[in-house]
Amino acid sequence: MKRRAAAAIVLVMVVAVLAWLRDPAWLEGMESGFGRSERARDGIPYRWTAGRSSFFVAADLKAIEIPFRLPMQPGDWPAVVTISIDDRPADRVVLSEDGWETRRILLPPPGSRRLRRIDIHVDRTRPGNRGVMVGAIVREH
Amino acid sequence: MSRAVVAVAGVLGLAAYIFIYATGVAHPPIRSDGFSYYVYLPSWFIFHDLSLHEVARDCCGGEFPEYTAIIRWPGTRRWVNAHPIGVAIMQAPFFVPAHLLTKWSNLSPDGFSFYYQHGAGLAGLFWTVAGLVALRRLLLRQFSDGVAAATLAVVTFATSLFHYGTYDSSYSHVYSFFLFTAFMAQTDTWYRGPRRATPWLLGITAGLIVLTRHPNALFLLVFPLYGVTGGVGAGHLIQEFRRRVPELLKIALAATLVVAPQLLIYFLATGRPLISSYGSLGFNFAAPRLYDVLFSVQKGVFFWAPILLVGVAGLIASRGMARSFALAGGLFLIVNTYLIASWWDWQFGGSFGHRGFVDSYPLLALGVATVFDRMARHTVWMVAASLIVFAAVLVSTVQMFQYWYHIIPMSDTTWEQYRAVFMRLQ
Repeated sequence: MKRRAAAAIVLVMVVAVLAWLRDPAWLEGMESGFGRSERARDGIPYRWTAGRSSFFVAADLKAIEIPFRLPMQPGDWPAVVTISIDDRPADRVVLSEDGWETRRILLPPPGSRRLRRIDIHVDRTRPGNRGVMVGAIVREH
Repeated sequence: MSRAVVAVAGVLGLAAYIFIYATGVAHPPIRSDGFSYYVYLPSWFIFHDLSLHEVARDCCGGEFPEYTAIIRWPGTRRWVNAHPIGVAIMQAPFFVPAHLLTKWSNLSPDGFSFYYQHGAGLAGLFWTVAGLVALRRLLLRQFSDGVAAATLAVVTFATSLFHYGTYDSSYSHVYSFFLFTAFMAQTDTWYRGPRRATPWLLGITAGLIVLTRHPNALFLLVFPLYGVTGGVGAGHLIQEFRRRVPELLKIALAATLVVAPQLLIYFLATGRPLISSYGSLGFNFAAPRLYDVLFSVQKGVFFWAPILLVGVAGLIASRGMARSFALAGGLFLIVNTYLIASWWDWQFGGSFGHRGFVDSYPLLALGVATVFDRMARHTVWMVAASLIVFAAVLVSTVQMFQYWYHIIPMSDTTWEQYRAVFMRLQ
């Protein structure tokens, strides 16, 4: 009887934890694949992405704006950057010239979660697994 | 009491792990060598790819960073990982729930986001504690509970083991620590008499030892040389082998099956099943840095964990089961030291103490237990042993924190640097 009660308590706790983990608020501050904050020669703050980087935004946002830049040396290949929202491709940008390029990405209507995951994937990286420079991301309500 | 030491090690290990990553003392666990040991898992389970090509394309723009020691094989241009698949196999039970949780929480299912990182990190801590559990059982076959407790405390907290079970838990060393201990326990069990499961377990463990770190294949010598202390022992051993050929075949079969996937991976990448996966990096056998790897302030194993000298002395003076491991263990320690000292990067990059020796701690633990066992017979010596344990644990723990906070350099420490910061935490 005691074992059954203990098993039931464990089961309830596991279900509760899983329910909480499906859409936890702490994901909003979570990101991966970004380097430390730096400042470009033009004074604009930026961070390098890795080959793949992710961050979360509120699901009720209307759009986000992401500034990209890739310093180019003679002979460098252009980089193709793919932006996905919850694993669905939302935009693609080819960076072939040095200079900031800002993309505005419309977010789909809110689903069942509070947050949406934005992935930035770069098809080729520089030494140290550096992808592209990303400036301050603007969130539009 | 020894059970309490293992429990305390587990609780403190988990607390230290949470502290390290909650306070940002270290970067996420899958880093440096830990990356190349782990990278097979996303490649196999997420990208369904044995070649590492797809994971490189996804994580790293098609090319693995230099620090990963994953190289393109000359001729085929396919990826060859210097680090074999053993650690990934032992991390797999943690990867699967991490992947499911990642999908459930809508994190990036790329193999490197939050749950994957800590699945890999906690796997290392799990195998460290599993190694301590196995070592406790092994020690209790010959020594008292008190001696086992003191030995476990020293091995955990007066060496680099706790560091490699927490801060650098994605490296291979704690996996080898567990596997060596398990292999020694299974070897002792095999020689005590036939058991149905033992040959299979011996074969699986032997295979995993080879898959975790190829040079550790040398450690398998402890099986055929168990109990050999002279000509008489060797003669008895040959008779034993002749009598138990079917069991030996089971061991060989299990080990072969475990190692086979690695050979297949090498074959697919290079066209050959046996290769030197480090490419052009190699050994300098003519000029081994023996003194440096043993005693130097830079990375000397006995400088940073002097209690291990007690282990060497104890192994020489051992009796009973510990004695049965002494010859093979001693041979392994000598050859392994020569290999480490001959490696082009004899410091093994950044490490707390010399990480190349962490794998050997189970052997040295038997020696430490032997010495503690002798000391425990006299009150005065027992008090002395307690003081030694306390001092060794204190100094090693402070130095570990110094390493975490970069008060001690990751490599190339000088005597002046060491003396200037001795026992200082700021």
